[in-house]
Amino acid sequence: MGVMGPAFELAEASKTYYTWRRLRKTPVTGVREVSLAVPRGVIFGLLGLNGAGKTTTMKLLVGIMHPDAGAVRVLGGDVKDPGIRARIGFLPELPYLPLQLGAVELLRCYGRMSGLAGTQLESRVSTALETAGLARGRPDPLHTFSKGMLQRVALAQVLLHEPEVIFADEPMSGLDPAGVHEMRELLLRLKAAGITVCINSHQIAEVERICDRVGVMAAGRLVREGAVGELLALAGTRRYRLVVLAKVPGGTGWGIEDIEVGEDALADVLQSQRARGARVLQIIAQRGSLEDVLLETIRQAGPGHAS
Amino acid sequence: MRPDAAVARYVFRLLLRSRLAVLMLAAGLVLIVGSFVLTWLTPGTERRTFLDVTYLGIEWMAILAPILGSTILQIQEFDQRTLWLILVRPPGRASFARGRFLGLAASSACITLACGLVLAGLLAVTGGLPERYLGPVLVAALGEVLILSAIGGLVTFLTTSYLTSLLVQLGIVILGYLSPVLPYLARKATVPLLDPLIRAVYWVVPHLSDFAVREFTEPAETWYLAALTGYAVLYAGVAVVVSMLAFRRRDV
Repeated sequence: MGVMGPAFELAEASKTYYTWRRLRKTPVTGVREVSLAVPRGVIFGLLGLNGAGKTTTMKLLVGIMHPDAGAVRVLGGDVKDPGIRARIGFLPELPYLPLQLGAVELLRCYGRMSGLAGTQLESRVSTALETAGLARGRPDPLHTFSKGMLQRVALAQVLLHEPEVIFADEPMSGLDPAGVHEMRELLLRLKAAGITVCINSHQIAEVERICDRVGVMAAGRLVREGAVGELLALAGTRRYRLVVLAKVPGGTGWGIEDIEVGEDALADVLQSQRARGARVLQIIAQRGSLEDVLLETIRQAGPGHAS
Repeated sequence: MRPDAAVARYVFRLLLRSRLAVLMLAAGLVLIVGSFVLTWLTPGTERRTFLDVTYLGIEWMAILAPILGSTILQIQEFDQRTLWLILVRPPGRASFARGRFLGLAASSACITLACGLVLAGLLAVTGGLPERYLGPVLVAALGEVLILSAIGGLVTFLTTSYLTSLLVQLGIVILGYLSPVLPYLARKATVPLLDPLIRAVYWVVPHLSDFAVREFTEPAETWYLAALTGYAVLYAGVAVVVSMLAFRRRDV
């Protein structure tokens, strides 16, 4: 791989779409001045609400779309370069496959487009099918396949040419629990093999579990980026659970109350509890989740960012 | 394998595996067999009736196969987004446009030639060979396939709706068959801008009426067929280059 630059990077990349409404061309922001550099060999997660620009970012990175401004570089080169595209793989959210072809036949076609031929092509097709959990012998057209099987074919096409960077848009969407487990294991195996994986997902718990770094997008901008541990630490100190012993309102007895409070209000709440005669038994710093980070980041990004 | 050839092979397989190919071949066979049955109703001119109807059928196969084929590709590639998994691979957009044209032209040519082969087989069985018009009709039909495959590629890259692309392509075919009368219409135009507009259309649309060699009183000569093929190759080449340029920056 030579000098280890970032696996992929965006430099001030912007993309605007245009839609026609009442005979007027209306601009719609896809992404705005996104800058990001992701090191090799990690699993990177892109988070954000619907319409935040995650899929547009991924489309820019795989070369389906070109930026209006800024630059996109993958493995140190321009994604327009066929040599670079030969080293990346893309797993779309839905398996966008032509359903009249069979799995092996389709993989052969994709393999030829990726520059494979002869015995190398055949062996790669077999390996990709095996890794994706599909039996090679099935010649039926894809329209006879179940949704889960189609996802596996889509996965096989990603692995076929042994890419160095894989971009996966919602890789766990629509999978059953066993499928989610298999996908998670596969992504971790790919990472262990030195492959960089970029996933775009709404399944925040999964992202937290497997990603090394995450980026949070809101309204087309990258509003936060960092290692998962750093972001969790940031969220972890922000909420506390107070366990207090206080008089039951309107009664004579005492009862235990659980109060959740943010970092900003902690001092005020402690003071008010003491003032009403309650005894604070415990203050528990709550472990924040990536979901908290996401929602807090979007809230901080201001109005218009929660689309 | 060259990227263009890899894309062409993929498109070729895709189209020949689609229901369209089966329907077109079935329609072709029904037409040929139907026209054979029709000859029983036209005693005395059996052979002429049979050949007129089947040649017309082959010509329409050559027109409909690329138009419907390009529409199917547009639905799959853009609406169903199968294009995404191709554009992320090494063949660039220009390669894709060229390969797509080659695949569409090859599959349409196969459908047209299959109908020609069935006709030749039927003629051989009924003792109707040699038939002097068969060769020229097939050559002209393949020329039309080339032109309309290139136009199909271009129109489907320029439009976002398959219905629009279908209508535009059919419109081009109709104008292409009307091309001999366009200069006459231009001369008769009374509205100021209509004359140059009709003349522009005359130069832009393919002159498909020249390909209707089945209507000639004598079979088309070799030099005419060579000129026709040259025109088809040139026209298709220009249309493919324009479609490559049109697709270069299109968002998908």
